[in-house]
Amino acid sequence: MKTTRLATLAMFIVALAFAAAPAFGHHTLVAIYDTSKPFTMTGTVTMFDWRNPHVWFFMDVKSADGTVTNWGFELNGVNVLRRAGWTRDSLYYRFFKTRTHEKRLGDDFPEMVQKSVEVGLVLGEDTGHQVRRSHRGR
Amino acid sequence: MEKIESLIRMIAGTALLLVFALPSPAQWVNYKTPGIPRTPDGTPDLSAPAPRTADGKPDISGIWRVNGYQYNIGKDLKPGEIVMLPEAQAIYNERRETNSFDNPWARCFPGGVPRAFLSPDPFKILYMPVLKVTVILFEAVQTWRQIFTDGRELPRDPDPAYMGYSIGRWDGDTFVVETAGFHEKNWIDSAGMPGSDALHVTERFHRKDFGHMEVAITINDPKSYAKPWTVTLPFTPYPDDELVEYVCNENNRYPTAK
Repeated sequence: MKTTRLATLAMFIVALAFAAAPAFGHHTLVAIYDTSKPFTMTGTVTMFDWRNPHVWFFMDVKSADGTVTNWGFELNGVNVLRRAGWTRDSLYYRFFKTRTHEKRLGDDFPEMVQKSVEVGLVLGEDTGHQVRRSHRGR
Repeated sequence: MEKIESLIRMIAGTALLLVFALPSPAQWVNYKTPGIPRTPDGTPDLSAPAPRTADGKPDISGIWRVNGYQYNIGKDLKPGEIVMLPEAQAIYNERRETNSFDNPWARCFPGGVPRAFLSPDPFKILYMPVLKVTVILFEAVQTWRQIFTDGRELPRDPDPAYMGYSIGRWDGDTFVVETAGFHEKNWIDSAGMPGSDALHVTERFHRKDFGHMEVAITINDPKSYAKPWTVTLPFTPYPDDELVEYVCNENNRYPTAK
């Protein structure tokens, strides 16, 4: 199964500067994520959640001590991504340029506060990107 | 397996630049919107005359977007044009200090008026002179407005609503819409400028030609602002596209954070 093989590929995530436009259809990037602190993350995609209002994908990321954490990556909605050329199979076939950033202070999800980092992903001006640690983390 | 993976990694590393070859927006639908004036090479002719309906009015129907005002609707106004009353200012300040934590739109509630226009997502205006109603379908959070053009008045004591209650009439070539009957939870824009249950919105839709519609929006809310204020937004056609289903509640995991 070619698709399965590709899906288990290590994803290459590359930090990239992008215009700090706070304009999003649904919610505001800068209200949730600190876009001034990019960093890089590499892992294996475990799920691609192709739904509005925001598409998510999940990725197993191995830390230096060998622990594996399942992270959630928040993108823009199906509507925006479709117009930008994505399909529900995109994650299996494309690599992404991404930007990562730390979570802002204060959060109503305490388990995420302990993990002080967030990851973001960018596909161009009009597509979304934002990431959180997976709620269903392992 | 490890060898294969490292090989794949290498290939992937070199393939990264391909990302820039992503298809450009608005090419995902392969249907041309009918009835659009086009130049010889098939692109929509934005400076063609505005289409007219059977009753001779400019037809404001079609898919539109508003660019550039998604966050702050008043960004082009001079200081002092929008004067918030103290209570409204306090609400606004709180929304800013809490990073829009109680943003209704982020929690899948309708955007309100005029905020429902202030999304990167398109909306479709359907002007229907026979049914005497104009309907606007908003892709964002999948909501709608109906603007009655049968001559009725605004209701005296309507149930408060997110999108209010709208009536429309023609003033020459300008479609004028009056909307009231909001509740106090309204956000005028995504920055969180407040609207109260006294909010009355007047929108003047003027389609100058095929590609340009100016919509002057007057906010009159004596409980929130010291005086009415008006912004004029440019509506841009969004041809050869279609609305996409947008079920906001389906995947709304972490809408806001303080």
